Amino acid sequence: MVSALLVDALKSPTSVLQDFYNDKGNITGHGDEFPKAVSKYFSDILLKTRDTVREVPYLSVINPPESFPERSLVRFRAMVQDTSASPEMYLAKLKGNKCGGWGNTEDLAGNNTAHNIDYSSLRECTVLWAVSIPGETAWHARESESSNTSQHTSHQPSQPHKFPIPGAAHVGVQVKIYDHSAAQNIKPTDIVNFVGILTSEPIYLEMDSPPEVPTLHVLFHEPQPAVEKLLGPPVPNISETRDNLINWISKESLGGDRDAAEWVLLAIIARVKSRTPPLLPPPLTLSRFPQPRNPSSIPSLTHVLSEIVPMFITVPLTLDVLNQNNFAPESREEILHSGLLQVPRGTNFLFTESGIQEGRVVEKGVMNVKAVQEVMNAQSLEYVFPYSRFSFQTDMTFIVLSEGRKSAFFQTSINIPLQIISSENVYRAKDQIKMPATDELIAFRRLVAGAKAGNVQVADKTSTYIQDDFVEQRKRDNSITVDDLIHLMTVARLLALSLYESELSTDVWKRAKELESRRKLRLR
Amino acid sequence: MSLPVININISYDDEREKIQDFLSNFVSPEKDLDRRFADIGISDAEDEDQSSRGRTMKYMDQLQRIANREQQMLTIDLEDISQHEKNVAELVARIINNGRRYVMLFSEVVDKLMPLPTKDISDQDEVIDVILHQRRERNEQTEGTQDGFPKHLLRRYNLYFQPLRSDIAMAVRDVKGVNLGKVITVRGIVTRVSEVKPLLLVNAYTCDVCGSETFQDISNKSFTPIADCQNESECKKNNIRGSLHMQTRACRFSPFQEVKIQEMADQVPVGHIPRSMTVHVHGNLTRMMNPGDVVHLGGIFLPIPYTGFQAIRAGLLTDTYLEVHHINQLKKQYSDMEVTPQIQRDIDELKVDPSLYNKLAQSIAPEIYGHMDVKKALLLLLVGGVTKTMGDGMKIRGDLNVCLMGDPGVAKSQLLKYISKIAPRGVYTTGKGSSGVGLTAAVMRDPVTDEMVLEGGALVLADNGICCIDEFDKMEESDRTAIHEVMEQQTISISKAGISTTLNARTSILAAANPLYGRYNPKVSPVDNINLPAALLSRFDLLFLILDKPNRDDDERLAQHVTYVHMYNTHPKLEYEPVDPLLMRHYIAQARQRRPTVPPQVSSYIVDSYVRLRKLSKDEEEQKKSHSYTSARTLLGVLRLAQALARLRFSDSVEHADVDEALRLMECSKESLNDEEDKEYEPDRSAVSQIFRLIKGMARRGGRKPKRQRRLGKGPGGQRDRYDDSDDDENSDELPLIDIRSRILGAGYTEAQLHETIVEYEALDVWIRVANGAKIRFMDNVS
Repeated sequence: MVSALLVDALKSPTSVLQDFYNDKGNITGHGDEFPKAVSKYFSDILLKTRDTVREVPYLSVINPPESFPERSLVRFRAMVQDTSASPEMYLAKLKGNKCGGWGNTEDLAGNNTAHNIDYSSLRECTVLWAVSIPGETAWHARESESSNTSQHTSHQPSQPHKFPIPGAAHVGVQVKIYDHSAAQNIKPTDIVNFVGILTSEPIYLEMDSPPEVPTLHVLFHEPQPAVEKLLGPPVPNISETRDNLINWISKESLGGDRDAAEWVLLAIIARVKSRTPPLLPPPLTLSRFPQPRNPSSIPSLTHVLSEIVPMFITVPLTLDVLNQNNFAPESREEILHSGLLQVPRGTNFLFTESGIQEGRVVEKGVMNVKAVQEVMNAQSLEYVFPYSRFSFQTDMTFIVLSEGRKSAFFQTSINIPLQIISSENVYRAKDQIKMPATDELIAFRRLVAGAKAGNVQVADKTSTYIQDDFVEQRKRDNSITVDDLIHLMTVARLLALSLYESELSTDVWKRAKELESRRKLRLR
Repeated sequence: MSLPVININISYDDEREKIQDFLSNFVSPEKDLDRRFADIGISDAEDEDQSSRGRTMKYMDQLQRIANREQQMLTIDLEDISQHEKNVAELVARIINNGRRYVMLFSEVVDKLMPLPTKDISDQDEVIDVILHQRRERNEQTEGTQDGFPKHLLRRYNLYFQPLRSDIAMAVRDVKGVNLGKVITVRGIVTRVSEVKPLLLVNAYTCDVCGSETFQDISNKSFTPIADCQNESECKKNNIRGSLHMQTRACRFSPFQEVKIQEMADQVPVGHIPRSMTVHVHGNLTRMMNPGDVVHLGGIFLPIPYTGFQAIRAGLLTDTYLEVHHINQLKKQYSDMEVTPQIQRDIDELKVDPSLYNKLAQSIAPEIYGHMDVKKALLLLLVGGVTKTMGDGMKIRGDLNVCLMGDPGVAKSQLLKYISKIAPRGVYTTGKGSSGVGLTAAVMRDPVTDEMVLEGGALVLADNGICCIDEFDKMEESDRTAIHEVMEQQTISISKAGISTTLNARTSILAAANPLYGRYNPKVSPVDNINLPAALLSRFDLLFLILDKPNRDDDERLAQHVTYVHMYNTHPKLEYEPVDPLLMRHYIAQARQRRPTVPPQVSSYIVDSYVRLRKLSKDEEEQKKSHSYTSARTLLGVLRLAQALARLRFSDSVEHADVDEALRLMECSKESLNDEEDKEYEPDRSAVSQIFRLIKGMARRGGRKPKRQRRLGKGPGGQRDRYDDSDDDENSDELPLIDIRSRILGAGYTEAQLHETIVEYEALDVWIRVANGAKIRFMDNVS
């Protein structure tokens, strides 16, 4: 029975919806009951198992909207970019007892339509703009995609200014959610799984003939939890896997510098633990990073980290990038243009400074640098609106590669000068990087995801030890401040997380102190 | 969300009668002053009669003025209807539910009631009035025999409803389908304003065959013109297809403007994007809003059906807009905050709390431990003293200015940020002024109109509020000059890009500054530690020094705090319950409305204290241990603090105790400067400090001399004298160690003591050794 329904839903979602309406349309009395019922009905059919949902075709750059026939059932795992559109009104009941909404409309020819409309069957639906997940790494995208991918001609996004990464291939879709009250909590940069009927409709803009854009009429949606857990068996032998991971990162991308690789690991597993008091991910600078021979080379670190984290964005900084792009989203003419930093929680950024030449940073560039610094310091990003700015909470990590003593633009709480041991090139192309065995690679990914999701407690005993330690140190050297203590606590917690320890032990504390003092030594 | 379906079991004829009764009989309870003045001096005996005559027939009088072409706007105040009807459940509720219909009903009644003009039409009137007059006359002539001009063509007034005062202004996101057709009030910031365009209400045509006029009502954005003559008595009867021509002059237009408003920060749930709304403005209400204005808009929420392509393609019914009936411009200040009964109850409770002063002070940045006196000063800064304007226009500033000095990492910035958040119009900025907008003002390009505009900087934005300036010592010289002006005159004079003006900046200044060498150097005097001109410092009512001194107890407490935060991801529980910031804002807002005065006996007490302080200061100066001195400014400062304290008690007069507390705070602020020195007095006399002073003295003399010489250029003797070390003349802050050694040893100190001094101050980053230790370079001018 269920499988038959599944097949029907996949083939013609519209008629399944109409059948359901014939059954349950009488509960359409008032409010959101019917859309809620629709949402439950379809999620019951399609979310039966992990496999059933995989049957639903997946909307992506490879399977762009135009590759589907009108009114196909599709799945879209997307980042919500803009929720500023006003709710729209639709007729919930059409002539001949047909189901309205979800793109079903009456042919309303002529101008005098407003008068013969049954106002009692008007309902509201939420309209928003969603885009492919910016910076989603290839392996992670494969996890959610179904196997039947067909290469389509390159997709031209209709509203390119609504994607954070300029010029990047992506899909942007207008989303209409009929379960109006359930949609109220969706915020920009949330990742949401939408399942619905794909059509093409005009985008509401203030122009006489607005362009048609792909539009997804949502049957049901589910927000992705803040911390994503990868499914599968637990990581075997944590400390060995961790060692291998650090080795791999250092060997393939950091010229064999194991300490630097360990700091990189700590930097990418960090996330916001609390905002008041601020326990935020510490940004990392890898200083003394060699210049590439070819200025446009991408560091191997990009390729390596892209294999182990789900969302990773490399920003090769140049003066043009700084001066011309929007880093923070900005609303112009009631349209929210995206900015480089409008990305989902958990995104990892890598800024490279090797492309910076002498020149002028204009005001926009200064604002961009300030925006990045503000996210680094406070994990909050201001979106620019006319006459006002609104602050949005972010949760991302930063690694800055700089050839100098420190980053030219950003102040990071951790700075470690790279010490290349082997002569291996840190700008190797992707195919020149030695990949670990598949099993091991999967273990790496799970280690990083698990560490990011983990929590570390500080026991009373350790806490007392740390307190005494601090008082002692300060007695010896009064240049040590509370900030040093806070910093070291953060490092120690990250170290414990990377070791999958649920409690901070004095051992880990000492290890963190050693790591930190080795780093300080390099700074001399 | 379902939309309301209106049960139309209302008899509109009854409604018309009610409206007629209201319009013709409503008597304004407010006395019309103009009239009263005109009536004055008739006779005392007629008192009673006079007062009833002083009351006006509010609406009938307006109708007369409209008939006389002296008024265009007719605002029906719903408050008046509710008074007249003695309830809001009936007519008022029906108007609110079905605004547009009632605009029509009211207009019909107004047409009926419209009195004859008492002034004749003359050449002074506008063309449209003359045409209307003609039409009216023709209507009268042809009465009964032929269709006259439609009534609405003859209207020359715009009818608006003014919402009830109790109507709560909604956020854009709260305006839903259920509000369609209703009179609502929405709050927002104006982001875009279109040009004013003529909106066609009635299109007029004449027939080129029979000459008769045809009128067409226009209710949509687009319409289809009529092509054939509709005249029944001529063209149609004779079966002639007379073609029609549009007559622009005979049409009825209304000025029309489209405006966008956007939600304000406090209306948007955290993490959401502000919504905006389209607003239509007609008639006399056009040109009343500018981008950037914060407004309450009363009006009718209406749907616009999509037309043409969009409707067919998307089947969408409507976009929505607000048809504005009433505009209320707002300026956000303390006095404009909405007080709920709950808040009022809490305030009343707080008022009688005996430990109020401490409780409020503790609640300032509760996560920062200690610093009670600083927090008390900040509380008084929020409350402020009384600003007085003298008869000759001179103003005495009531706003308090406070400066916090101290080591990095002592939570100065947190205190500043907290204050900027709690004060309405609180602005936080850093002295570095990193972007284009400085502290004072900048010429900027308007994001909406793309024109160059003068944009107020932090100080102007904080007008009637508090400007919190971090890194005060790193401020640009030009800003510093402006600060002088703000702190005394409370204005800013701008002369930029051809714009020359004076802006108000009635703001309190809360500044935070770091010591000259990054960390406070206990070995030199406080004044040497503060890198600010004395003239600027003296303008602060209170100056606090907050130091980070290693101290076992404090360190332990700090470490405990940090580890606790990491253990539980939250701040430790406080020993007391802090007052909620919102309640605090309201309490302060109400306290600020008081204007306490100083009774004579308290005033003489202040004078005595002042005299005593002056004497003390003089004594100290003689002993050369004073770092601040007492002047008339101090006296005003004490007054302001005392007034703020009285305000805090909601009292109308300053008491002795207030003055005592004000003096105590003044004393504390001085103590914080002296205290350090007192403790370190012995080490300050130590050899190391003495040597440092000697070297610093040398640097001053040596540092200036070569510069002057270079400028004069022709001192042959001098030049030869200094030839040996002139290779490093560029760095006038460098002293050769040879010179230092001879000077120090000559003064009777040992080589070891000199070495100790050099090492110790190098650790403080006061100087560094250069040229393989042959020279010393001072660090102060580098940064």
